[in-house]
Amino acid sequence: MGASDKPTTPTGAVPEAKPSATRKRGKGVDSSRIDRFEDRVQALYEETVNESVPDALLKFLDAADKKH
Amino acid sequence: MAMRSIREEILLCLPHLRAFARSLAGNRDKADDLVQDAIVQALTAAHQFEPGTNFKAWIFTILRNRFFNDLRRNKYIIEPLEAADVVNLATAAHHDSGLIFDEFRGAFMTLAAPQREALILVAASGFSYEEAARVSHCAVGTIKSRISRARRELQRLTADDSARPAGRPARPAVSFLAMGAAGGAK
Repeated sequence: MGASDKPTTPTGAVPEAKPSATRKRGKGVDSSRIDRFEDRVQALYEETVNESVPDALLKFLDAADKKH
Repeated sequence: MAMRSIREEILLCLPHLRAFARSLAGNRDKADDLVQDAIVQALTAAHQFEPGTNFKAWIFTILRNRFFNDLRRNKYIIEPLEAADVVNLATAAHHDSGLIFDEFRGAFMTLAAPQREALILVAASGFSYEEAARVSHCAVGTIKSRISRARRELQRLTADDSARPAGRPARPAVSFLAMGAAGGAK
């Protein structure tokens, strides 16, 4: 199904996409296009993803959640 | 399966939100401020989220909208690159193994913010081009062209590295924030 066929919502929410082999790198992107730049971009991103979330941020989330 | 609460959804997304925010704001503290703003906005607008849709895309959209609104209001002031904590070039110069990656990080941060956004969404966050286009409120072709331009620019900047003395940034006088602001939507 093409992207333009996907339903959108009034709130701008994006429907959950089905997992697929090409999902991680984007639909239509084959492995030959994954060069060292993309690998390094991913490494940059994962550097932060793999960090522990600071306690202050977790406490902030809890406080904000209670407030709402 | 029980539906997750908004708090639980946010909690699951937090590491990715922080990484996305860091790639936009560069500075760790500013990135976490941005994440806090996105959390508050997501909780406030929780009733607008439709269960079963992509929460990560929803909250990423909130965060990037906040960032670009702040950027337009000049909340992210221009700073000398030396003052930003995106790359510690002095340290990098003494660690060959990390030097190439740190220089890449420096080069990445000099890209215009919309180019960084497109690269992170598609190359690292696991969004398809179509999903990235929705998050960024632009056409799929625009995302592709931003990625293509970003890749060319990174190629140019990192190719230039071989001709530069170690530890010297590609664009020493201008911070990534300035480039993001000047880069506009292209």
